[in-house]
Amino acid sequence: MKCDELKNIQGMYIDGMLDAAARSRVEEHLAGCAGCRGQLARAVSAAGLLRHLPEKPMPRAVHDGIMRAVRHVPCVPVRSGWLAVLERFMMPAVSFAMVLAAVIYVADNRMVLSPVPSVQPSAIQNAAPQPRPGLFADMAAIESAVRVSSVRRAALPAAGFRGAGKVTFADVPLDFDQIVLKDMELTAELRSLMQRRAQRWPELEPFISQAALGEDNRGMLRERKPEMFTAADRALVAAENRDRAQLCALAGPGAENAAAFARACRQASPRGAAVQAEDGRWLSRE
Amino acid sequence: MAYDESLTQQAFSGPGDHEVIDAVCGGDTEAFEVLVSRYGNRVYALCYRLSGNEADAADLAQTVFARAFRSLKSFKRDAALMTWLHTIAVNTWINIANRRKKVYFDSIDREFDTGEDTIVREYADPTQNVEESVARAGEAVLVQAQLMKLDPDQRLAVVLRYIEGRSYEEIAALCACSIGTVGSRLSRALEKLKDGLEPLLGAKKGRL
Repeated sequence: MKCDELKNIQGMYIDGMLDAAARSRVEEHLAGCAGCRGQLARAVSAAGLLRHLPEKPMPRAVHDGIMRAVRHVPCVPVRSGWLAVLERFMMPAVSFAMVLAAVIYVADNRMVLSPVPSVQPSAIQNAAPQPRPGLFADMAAIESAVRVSSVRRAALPAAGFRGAGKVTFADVPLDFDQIVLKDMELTAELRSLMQRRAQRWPELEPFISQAALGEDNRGMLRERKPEMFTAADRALVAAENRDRAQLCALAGPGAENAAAFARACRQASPRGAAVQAEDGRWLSRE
Repeated sequence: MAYDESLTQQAFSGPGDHEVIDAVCGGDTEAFEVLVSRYGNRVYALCYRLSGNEADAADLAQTVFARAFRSLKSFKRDAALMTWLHTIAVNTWINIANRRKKVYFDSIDREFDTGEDTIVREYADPTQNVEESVARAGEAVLVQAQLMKLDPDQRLAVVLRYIEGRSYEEIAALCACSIGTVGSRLSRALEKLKDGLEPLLGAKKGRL
């Protein structure tokens, strides 16, 4: 055995991973080579230094960051194929699906949609199985329904819910101050989506108002000041963008609808937020 | 730093891992904090030794736990949770290393080949004045600096073997390579380390 050959297997020799024949060849070489004996002793010492490195405790801020992140992430197994389909259709909430009103105010505050029977607040509160109640008759009915549940009250505005469902974004005027609610079917899927967005909003809002997150021209949030983000924050943004993609898809297919969704998101952003124009330039929202 | 897997459960008081996992999967998100407290230090230490700085270690550790949380229901109960977290950490780090290879993880003293010529990289070497380094920040800083000079695959092998105490078989499985490859990575790494750590080796000879 040559000295160079020993260098290539010194790790396995030190760790006792060589077979008997190889080990005896190494030992035979070592017996006659003082240089290699010295080198091997140094390799053993180097490994010893690694073994005795001090502990590196996790900083409290990292611990807290992890918990902050997981509070916004659903704990779900990865499902695919028929299991996913089964799970989706077994969701009990699906059977509670109901319709929430949708009313569009136009500039003269005239109701666009025809009067419809209202949903009793208690029915929503108890989440009992409901026949599809149709559309709310008026704003008072909507408000009373929304007042029923604090979760839902938080969810509606925070979901940025300026439209999804039967009427596509492309159908409505894009002055969103004029739009209170739109025709939407409050399925279990949509409800949980809105709740997720509502829970997420307090954490996202500071990033948006400081223009660290911008509204891009595809209806997604995009990092503008990467130095402000931890991995947990990025997970939050990614979750928000997934929900937005889902929300956009619920609103209806087509590029025109997607573009309208993107415009809606930008118009709903607060003053001072960074928004991306159609041509890709970033602007500050006035 | 090296640990014994069999001690994992005995070393902690409170509910067992499986009970905690059941609680988390049942919707009690806050119960996940028990697992973060229990394994956070080990996961973070691994992340730190691999990435070499606290900011990247923090990001990596957060990603590891977020991924673990998301897929907790698919955790197979016959494995140790720490092993599973290790696997997530290593896979995440390998992905990051592959993505950033040329930017962050290049060996800092390897010559740069332009195709026509080679250029010696001129980085400030924190280990230039070894005595001063040791006096200032202790040998751990020097050892970590030498770890960062290794190629990523060698560093991973060395960290898993000599810091985490993993077997060759486990390292081979984690790195998706043969046991022979693990051996040669360790050998090459030790060859570099013993040169870089020369000033410390005289005093530590025989400590293993």
